[in-house]
Amino acid sequence: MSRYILRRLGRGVLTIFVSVTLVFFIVRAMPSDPVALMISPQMSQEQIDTLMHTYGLDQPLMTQYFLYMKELLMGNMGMSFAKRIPVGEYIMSRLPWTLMLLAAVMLIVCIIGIPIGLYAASRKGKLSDRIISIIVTMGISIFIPFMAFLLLYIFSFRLKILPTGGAYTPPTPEGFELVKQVACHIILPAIALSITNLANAVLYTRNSMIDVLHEDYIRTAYAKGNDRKRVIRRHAMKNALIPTVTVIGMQIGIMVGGATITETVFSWPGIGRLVYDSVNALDYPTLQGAFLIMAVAVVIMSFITDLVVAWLDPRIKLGD
Amino acid sequence: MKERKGFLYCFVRNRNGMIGFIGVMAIVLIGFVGPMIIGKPSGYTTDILLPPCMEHPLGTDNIGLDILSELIWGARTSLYVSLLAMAISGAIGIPLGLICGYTRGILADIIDAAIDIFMTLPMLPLMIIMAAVMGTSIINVALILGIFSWPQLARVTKNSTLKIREMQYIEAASCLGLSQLRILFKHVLLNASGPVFVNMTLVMASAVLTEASLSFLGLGDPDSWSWGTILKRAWQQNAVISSPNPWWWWLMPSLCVVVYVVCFNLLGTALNDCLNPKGRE
Amino acid sequence: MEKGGPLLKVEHLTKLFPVKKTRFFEEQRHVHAVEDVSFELYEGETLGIVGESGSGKSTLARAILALTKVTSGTVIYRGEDITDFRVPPAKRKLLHSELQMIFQDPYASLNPKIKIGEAICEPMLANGQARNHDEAVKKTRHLLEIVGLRAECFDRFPHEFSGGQRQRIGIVRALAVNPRVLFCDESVSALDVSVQAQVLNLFNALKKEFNLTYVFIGHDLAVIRYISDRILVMYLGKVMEIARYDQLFSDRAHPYTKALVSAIPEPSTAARKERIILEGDIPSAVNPPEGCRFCQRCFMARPECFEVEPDFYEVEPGHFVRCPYMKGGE
Repeated sequence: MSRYILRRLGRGVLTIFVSVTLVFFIVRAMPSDPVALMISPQMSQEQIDTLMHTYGLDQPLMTQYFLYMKELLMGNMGMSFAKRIPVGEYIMSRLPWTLMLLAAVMLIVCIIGIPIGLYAASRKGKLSDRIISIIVTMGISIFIPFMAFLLLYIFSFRLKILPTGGAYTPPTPEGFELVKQVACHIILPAIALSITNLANAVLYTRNSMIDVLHEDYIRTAYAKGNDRKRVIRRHAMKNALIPTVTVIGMQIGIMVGGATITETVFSWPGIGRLVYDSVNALDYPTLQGAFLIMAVAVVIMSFITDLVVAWLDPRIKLGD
Repeated sequence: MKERKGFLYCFVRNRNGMIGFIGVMAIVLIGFVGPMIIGKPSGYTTDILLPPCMEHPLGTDNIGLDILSELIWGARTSLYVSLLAMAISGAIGIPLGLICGYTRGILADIIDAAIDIFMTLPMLPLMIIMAAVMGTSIINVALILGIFSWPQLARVTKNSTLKIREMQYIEAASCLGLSQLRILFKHVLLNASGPVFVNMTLVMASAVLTEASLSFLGLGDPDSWSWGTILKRAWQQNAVISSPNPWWWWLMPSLCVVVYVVCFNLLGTALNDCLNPKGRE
Repeated sequence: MEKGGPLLKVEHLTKLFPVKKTRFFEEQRHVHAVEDVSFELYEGETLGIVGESGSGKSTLARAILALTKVTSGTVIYRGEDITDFRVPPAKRKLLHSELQMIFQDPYASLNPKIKIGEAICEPMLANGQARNHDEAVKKTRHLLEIVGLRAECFDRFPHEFSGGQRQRIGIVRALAVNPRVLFCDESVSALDVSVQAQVLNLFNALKKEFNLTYVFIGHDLAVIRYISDRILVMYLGKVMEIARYDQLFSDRAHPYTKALVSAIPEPSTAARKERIILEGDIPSAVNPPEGCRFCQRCFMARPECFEVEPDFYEVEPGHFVRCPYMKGGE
């Protein structure tokens, strides 16, 4: 196997290990004790001790850590303090919602962002390019609550065409009605979440397309008698998209957990919201589990990104 | 001196850069001078949810506080937090980046791996947890922001150091018997300062963004005014979708955050264009 | 140090650079930058080192000055082993001032962000050549005048100077720490020919004034011949020949040297002797040829040359050649 892939694998495992360890110790440093929330005045000391023992909180910190790691390797993430269900189950109930949101964001970024970037590159220095550049600068600096408020104000409050939050209107509808409702509910959070990524995608696509169009091989392609469309499609596009793919890939991985604000504002039941809820509920095991999932997501996304980049860029050979 | 003149000339002619620069100066002025003129908003008044008028240019909130004075005090908090965060991330990131780029060996590898790992970790959730753990004082928020934004600064420093390390004047300095510490923290750092400086303005921008996000989630300092805290209260009162709509309440603080970040980003981009000779053509 | 002994003695110096591996289970290969080089340097002389680019001349100088770690071999200075400058710190400061180097590229060897005056004063203060800042400034101004620069240069940045002026600044910076031996690594190759001559004359003048010993490294035999007392010819990391400057033109010179000599342009109208054109490029230093390093390009090569590495022969007093066919009649 090549050193490169070995190194990447090593880094991936290390990333997961570091984030799990980091979160374990940070969470243990929380000022209040989760058991204190569960204890009621009627409980005897014995009952409290039993409760502490059940959650393993009476052990020394390092023992707790090693026990946790051992259980983790066997696929057991522990029990949620707040919900009293296995953490794995709890997270899995939230993960599809986050993935759905990310898929929507990906779709927006690819369908809108890349074409705009290519267009801006082809109009470099002209008025439309300058306008796009200004919008992109604003987009990169956007404050997500601001975007979310603006969307809510316009579409939910003024126009009253889209719902204000949640993933569907309770009680849980069934069949096609559910699909329709979720589709309506996902629009606003997806737009709010995709603004920064969209701006990044436009920016990177534009800049790298401009760079690529200055390369010698593009001039050669023109000299061979290809028309502009063909040169861009066959020669420039693949190379120009490499930085865009890298950026989108990294962003998507990070967004599995980074959508906290969006998911909170729109009450979207995803992983980001889960983190926020668990912090408020002092739910250690769930926080740790959520972080594990986030780290795994980041590692997987960066692998996929590398594969796509390798496919786009013939100079990179993963084999040797 | 020729080089410096060229830089100033380029910077003054850069329209976006000047907008950013003037904006940053205005924010600094408001943040430092404003609180001296306008008293700290406090207590309850009966002027609840007044729209913008002569007495309250930006209206009032649900407990009758003047939004404008809240925003001015918020500017001070934002400046304070982002400056502190920048200083902390600089104090961690620059030395680590220098060491990682300049030395070869196990220490450099460890720092490199740490930068890589921290760059990929989801920072916001981590910061949320840290803020919950450490308690919500303004110093803690700045500390968390600084601790978690060092990796990008370290990476920028490392990348410029890698280039500078191979320059002949560094070899000359070590041939002349100057100590490695002196070479690293004087000769290398002087030449890496351009990109590092640019990145520090970007750190300031993202620090405010994160600070506002944290206080929006209720993890900011409850005792000091922050744009995020104003927004949080507006959000909790359903200000965005209640009727009649107190738009000034939620719109103004958001605009402040966006303007602050845009100004710092414009400034950073313009500095980068002017320091990078390729962009000067 | 015994009287009349060499000032600097290099014994079997070898420097290998590891080649970055691309596969996990791969034999570690090395670039043979400098291999088994030995020579002596006497006080007051100028030793020229010539060779094509990639022959290891610069690496040799850097290894002696401890700018790169030696793989094996020893460097002896005034009778003491100073390999990699593994000596007590006080002694190391002395070495850093007594052995100095003038670099190749005058544009790259001065820190663009540091003023000339400070760049010159800083090492003086660090090595204890000046007790305080005022003394350092005074000495710097004096030295600047000696090399023909005005004292106003003190407060300027490097980019305000031409290549020749910058090289003079580099010389001042080295001279400021009172060096005994000055290594000049291609110090004039980056300059225009007219400026080259000025700087070479400056080197000669400074040698007398400060009692310097020079090691002059270059690829241009015409320049090296002009300034050197003895010349060392390197090819692919090995010494091919050590000769006095006049012995270099004898019939007993190494074939490689002969080829180099034949390439020197002659300022005469007489029919010039035949030019020896070498075929091919310098081979890779990762897999140097077995046998004689020069065999693949040698116009006199015989079958044995491809198999056995030739020894060093003293063909005339003080003239060493790594070629068995130059040994002479016996």
